[in-house]
Amino acid sequence: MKNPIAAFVRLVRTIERAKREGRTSELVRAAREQAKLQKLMQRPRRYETINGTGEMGWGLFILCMALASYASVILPDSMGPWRSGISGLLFIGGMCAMPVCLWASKKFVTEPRVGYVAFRRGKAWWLGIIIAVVVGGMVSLILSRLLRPEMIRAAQSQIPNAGVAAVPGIMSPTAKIILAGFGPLNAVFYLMMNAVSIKEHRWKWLVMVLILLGPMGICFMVPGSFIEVSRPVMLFLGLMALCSGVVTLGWFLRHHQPPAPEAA
Amino acid sequence: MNEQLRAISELDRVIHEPGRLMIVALLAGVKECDFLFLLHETEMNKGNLSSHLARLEEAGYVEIEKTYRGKVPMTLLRLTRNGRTVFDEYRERLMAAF
Repeated sequence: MKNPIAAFVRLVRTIERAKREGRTSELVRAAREQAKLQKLMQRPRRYETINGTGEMGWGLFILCMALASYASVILPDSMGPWRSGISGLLFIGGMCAMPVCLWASKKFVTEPRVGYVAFRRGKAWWLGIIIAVVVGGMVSLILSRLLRPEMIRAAQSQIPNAGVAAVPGIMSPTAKIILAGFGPLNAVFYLMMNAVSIKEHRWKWLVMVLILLGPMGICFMVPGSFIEVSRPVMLFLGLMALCSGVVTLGWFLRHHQPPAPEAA
Repeated sequence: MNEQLRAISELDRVIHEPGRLMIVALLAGVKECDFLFLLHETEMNKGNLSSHLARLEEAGYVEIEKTYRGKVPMTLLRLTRNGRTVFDEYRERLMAAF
């Protein structure tokens, strides 16, 4: 079982033997039994994302980032330090949204209804985390290099008499592609969060398509610099994930009631 | 005795019973869970689940720990190392039986 090559060789031999002895239907039945067991073993995994709080946390994170960015331009200068304070609070709120949502949902929503379950975190899980961190860091570095001219131009456009021809409202094709790429990136993340529950909630496919195409539409329809256009993109993505999470949570609460207390 | 029949006769009878097989398969996918979780997943009644768990504990396949979460009593269940090995062997033998 452990060695995949040996398992494959054994499987091929078993199929050949079954064919020779005319027992292919028995083999199919055995394979079905194995598949059933495998499915049963993976069934508890659905509780990691079943109540939609992961999506809500992710949605709140993006939404807080968008609102922090909006707050820095919408709030008047007369507010002084409060302006940066509100933006900072929204930023911190966004950073805490995901872990807080997951902790609260486990403690107050999932466990009282379907019971406590702890998942095994094997080598593969930790390897996945390390790969995700390394890839995430590399992508951030590449993006910051690619977006450097855009950021410099945005900063220069805010300095009066900088002596540089600042062109507000224009985005380079590279920046447009990067911003539009937020759609597929979020769609993949959304699919990963809903890998199991998407089979029960077919409407999530529509949400995934909207997440995939929405940022592209905004990029090509809304004029502005990279930072200006990134705000509605983040707002859209955050709202989509949050709404999807809220609907999933509503469904979960309707379909999973806490067990009735024991009669005395 | 025919090879296929011998393989079937070698299957672990404790695990082979459908109710217990379901419990062991569910526990094999997680690190630990509580009684309520298994009750919800298996859709058995409390009596049935308890008797199956007692049988599995007796065989040394499942570890049962009575604990408290705050003031609420909680029954934690996990598969023992022996239980995992036996379940893996069971799956291999089941495949070999056909």
